[in-house]
Amino acid sequence: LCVRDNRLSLIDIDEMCDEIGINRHVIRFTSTVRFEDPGPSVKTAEKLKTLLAEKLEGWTITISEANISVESVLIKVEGEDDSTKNIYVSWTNQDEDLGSYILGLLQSMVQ
Amino acid sequence: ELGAPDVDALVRELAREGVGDARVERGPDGCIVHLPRHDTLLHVERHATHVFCEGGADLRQALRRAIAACLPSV
Repeated sequence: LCVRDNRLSLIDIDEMCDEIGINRHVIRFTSTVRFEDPGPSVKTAEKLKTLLAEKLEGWTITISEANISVESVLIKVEGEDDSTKNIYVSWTNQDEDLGSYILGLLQSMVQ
Repeated sequence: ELGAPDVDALVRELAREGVGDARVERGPDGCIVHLPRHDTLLHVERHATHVFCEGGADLRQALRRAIAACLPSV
């Protein structure tokens, strides 16, 4: 909540800090999920995107190669074609709820 | 401009949260705080802390509280 042009405004915290010249300290968490899924990483990422799209209706999910993103949550699939994939799930502090939900979803999927 | 967290204070705050196995490695661009019992690394730099954490939500919550307690505030 800030006063701008003599009016009370509600603005995004990042926009606010940019405006007054403060570099915020960004806290990012990354966790790993191991997934038995032989084949190219891109194919694994496509499967994960389909799963996320079912569970996160209304959210914008983007995919580029083997990287998926939802808000600040980034999901990166790495691994050779014939091996277990490492799925790195990473999110900023502000998106803890979404990040931990997605991590939990992926962990339950591989169990 | 807000600076980096005070790493000595961070180690104390971690211990207060029950995470007392911290090993600190200082480098030119920041510090790495290793928590071997929790399979976790904190890479602390001036503008960002990246937590590589294999623990659950409770551990993340404790780490978040400890980091927040050491950040300079406006």
